[in-house]
Amino acid sequence: MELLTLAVALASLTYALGALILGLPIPYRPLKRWGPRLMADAVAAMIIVSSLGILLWLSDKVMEIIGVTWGNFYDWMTVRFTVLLAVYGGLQYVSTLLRSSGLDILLPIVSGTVSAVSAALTGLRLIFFVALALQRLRYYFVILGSVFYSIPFRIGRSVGATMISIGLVAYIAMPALPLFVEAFSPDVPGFSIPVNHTIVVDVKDSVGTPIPYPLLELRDSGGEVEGVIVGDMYGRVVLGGEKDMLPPTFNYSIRVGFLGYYFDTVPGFITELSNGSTIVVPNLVYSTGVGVLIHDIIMEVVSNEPGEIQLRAVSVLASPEVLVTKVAYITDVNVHIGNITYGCQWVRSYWLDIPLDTCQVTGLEPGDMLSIDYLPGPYPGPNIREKRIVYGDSVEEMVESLTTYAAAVLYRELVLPAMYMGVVVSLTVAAARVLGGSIRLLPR
Amino acid sequence: MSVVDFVRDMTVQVMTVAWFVFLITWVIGWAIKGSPIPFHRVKRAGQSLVEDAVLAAFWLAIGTTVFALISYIVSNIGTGMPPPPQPWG
Repeated sequence: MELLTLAVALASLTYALGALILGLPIPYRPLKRWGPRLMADAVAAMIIVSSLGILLWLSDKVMEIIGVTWGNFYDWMTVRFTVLLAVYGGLQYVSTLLRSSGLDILLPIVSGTVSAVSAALTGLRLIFFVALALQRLRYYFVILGSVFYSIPFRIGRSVGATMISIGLVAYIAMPALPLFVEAFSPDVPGFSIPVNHTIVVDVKDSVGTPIPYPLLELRDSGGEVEGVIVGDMYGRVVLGGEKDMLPPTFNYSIRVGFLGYYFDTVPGFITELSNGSTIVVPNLVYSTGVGVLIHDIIMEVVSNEPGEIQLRAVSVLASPEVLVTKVAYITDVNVHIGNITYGCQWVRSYWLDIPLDTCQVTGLEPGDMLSIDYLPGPYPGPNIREKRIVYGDSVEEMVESLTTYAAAVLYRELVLPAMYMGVVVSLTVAAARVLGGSIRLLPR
Repeated sequence: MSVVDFVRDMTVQVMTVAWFVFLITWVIGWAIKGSPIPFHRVKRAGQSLVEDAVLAAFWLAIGTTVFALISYIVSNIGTGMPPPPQPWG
């Protein structure tokens, strides 16, 4: 109210100054012209100050007629924020997925969409703060504007007129943003991230000992390698999740690479239903750095402790083969058949940067006890670049969906609100001009 | 002294000056008009000074009255409600 009184007092002063100049005994026209001009300004200012209440009431009434409210506006903004933040999170997930799947070539598309979304977020945040300031400071805008408007010699006339019209026109126009955007937005196809399974399997040897860092090789029905995935030190292999894009249904035949050999497994395949299952390598007995590979011979495991493996031959088939393979730095290895020490011929080989020594044990008869004792040690993981599974259709679908969505987001969340803000500014400037002055947006 | 009071004081001073200026202009105007100078242009200047002075005085009288009234109303709108009646006794 103090400000309103000040505005009235300033208008009175302007009027008095106008009368003074009009009455000056100086017959100089350009100076004299300021007299009536100031008086007219003072009257205009007084009319505006006196009708502020009516003007504010009218603007509220217009909002009511159009059917826009600030509550709806904020609701709409909240929904937009939520959607964009969800999409932002989804895109981060997709980029992680692409990076781990070796599809780095598609990353620019995703990062383009991320840029579009973050630009839209920034734009919306800006509009939100402008709207908040407009709603909260509306009365200050109008009253302060009228004070500026009343300052003598048209010093604050333009600023005042602009502030008043911001408080009246922009205040009505701003909450109508959702109506504008909804009226001109295209039907945006929903952004879809392919639904992904997460499949965890445990790889174990014939007696249930976890095989560390198993190399799981997955082939499709055509025999083509679709993925090469290394498990962790506890033999756990994770497919899908953030790392693979699995098809909705699949049936991959599998082999496990370990100690330089590729083993058939039971079961020999992985499907979308395999989560939580155990994959057994039947031809292998493993313990802390040493593995016994068995082929065409049935052996019973007597003991499988760190540093000691004991097997008894049960029956021998057509071409029996027993290989003792160890990591090269496992030392003090003694192989016995019964009580007789077997003279092992260790053959050195390298498999994926792991040095391995292999000894072929021959001459086993049913009932023979094969025992190996050694100083146990860890098994190092194979040095291999994983080939994660990327399902072609889901990539195509995702890229298409991403590009469409990026364009739609740019148009809907950035271009349309920016256009509308332009309209609001134009309306405000026009209203300010009607009131008697306006900020000049462009130089003449 | 608040800004409003300062502006009001200034307005009163300007008005006072304006009234004096009106008188001076009116006198000067008539003096020029009635001077024995046979130049039409000078006489017309005197005439216009008188006219301006009279107009200024008229608008000053009307304007200040109306403005004072509005100012009075505006400064009274803001005053708080009177206190509720107290029970007697």
